[in-house]
Amino acid sequence: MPSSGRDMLDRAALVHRWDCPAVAEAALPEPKVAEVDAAAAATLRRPYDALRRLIGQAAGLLVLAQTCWRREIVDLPAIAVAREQWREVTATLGDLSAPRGCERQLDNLTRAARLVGACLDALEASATKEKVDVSLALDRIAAAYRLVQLCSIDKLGLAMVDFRQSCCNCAPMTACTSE
Amino acid sequence: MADYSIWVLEYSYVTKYHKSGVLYGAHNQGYVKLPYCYALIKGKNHVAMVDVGYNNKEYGKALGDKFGVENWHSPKEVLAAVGLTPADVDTVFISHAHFDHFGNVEDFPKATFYIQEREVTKWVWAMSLPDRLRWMMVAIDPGDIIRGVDLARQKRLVCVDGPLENVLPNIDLHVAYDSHTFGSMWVHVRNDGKSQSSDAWALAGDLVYVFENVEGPGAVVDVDQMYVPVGLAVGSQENLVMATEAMMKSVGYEARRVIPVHEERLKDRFPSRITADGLRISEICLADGEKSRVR
Repeated sequence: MPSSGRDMLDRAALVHRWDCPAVAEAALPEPKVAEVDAAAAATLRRPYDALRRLIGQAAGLLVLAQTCWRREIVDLPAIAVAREQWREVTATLGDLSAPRGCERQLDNLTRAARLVGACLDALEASATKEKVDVSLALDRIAAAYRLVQLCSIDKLGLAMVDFRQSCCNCAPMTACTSE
Repeated sequence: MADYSIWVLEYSYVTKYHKSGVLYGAHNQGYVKLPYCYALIKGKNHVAMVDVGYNNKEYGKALGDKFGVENWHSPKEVLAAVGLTPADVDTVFISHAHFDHFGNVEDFPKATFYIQEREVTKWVWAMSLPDRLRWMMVAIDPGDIIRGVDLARQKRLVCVDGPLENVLPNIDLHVAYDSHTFGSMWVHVRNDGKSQSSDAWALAGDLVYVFENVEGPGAVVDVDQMYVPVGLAVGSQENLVMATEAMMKSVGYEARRVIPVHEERLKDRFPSRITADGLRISEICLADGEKSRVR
């Protein structure tokens, strides 16, 4: 089957668009820390952070594929690194049982991991074509981002942006009583 | 003769920001107000911006609750104060990929965005590093990069590899590698159109936060003034100081022509006004025939 047809089938059968109502659900209610065994929730941190970073890597590679390096992108070591890290996080998620109160989060992270893999597949497939088009890969990584974002538990440090060191970070200020 | 008008537009602020963040080594010296701003350049049939701020829908609650960021207003509201709309903006120069500079691209539906390729490539690299090196990944939202992919797909994102002359007529892009970020960019406006301009402005992004980064006290080394790098950087202070030197050289060593957008005291140096929303507009220069937006 021509790859474009396969892509379409994959897309219809497996992947929601990033703005699909099935994906664009409301944020999960943030569990109360007391209800979520903090130690159990902490087990989500590793796959959560790994996926957050993988999404960033994949998105950056898509930018480069579309704007600068076109087909050369598939030969970059960064692709192999992302693949390896994707295999690791997929294995990690496979070994986890859902921490109490975090069943939806684990399910979403698992779905996000599949989408990241699909994004890398689509990127590599796209780069072999005459004209690079990252649309399919973009749909998949955007959906993965949305799913990981839904799993954020701010009070446990599961956040998509690390604001420490950022221009707004005056958190230490609140701990100080004098100048 | 001046081709371009330049304004610095405040869109939000932190009232108490630790001074050591804006000035290297300024420990235990209290706090400064840190305005969040973008720069607007208008002239020669172009409306350009340096950075686009952040999207309050995505970040507002976290920033407000945790860091005391106040009074955010949308580009639509901020630009209205100077008689423009986001749809009027045709060009955006992204100085760096931090969320408060690159976090609101969707509000500019007709703009083409320019960012340094190195800012993207080293971001990919940094995100591949293990957690113990996480310090290099801060303040960037993967969601912003995803929105960058969408821009690229629409042919509205240009990755620039190094300096670029005349990206718009008489406007040049320069890069300071491994400084505030991996590929921080500054914008050089040659307002008299000459290659060796005597009416040039350097829009510094976060390579300079406050006046003291350019005109710092030098008594400790027995000089009147010296460059003092910003406090927040993933790269080196050396690279920040050398970027300051490059910017100063580009404006004939006239410090007032290096524009730090996070500097509250721009209001003391340039004609300014406070809008009905409580945000500042500083008018850096006016093109021939352009009317003032602050008087």
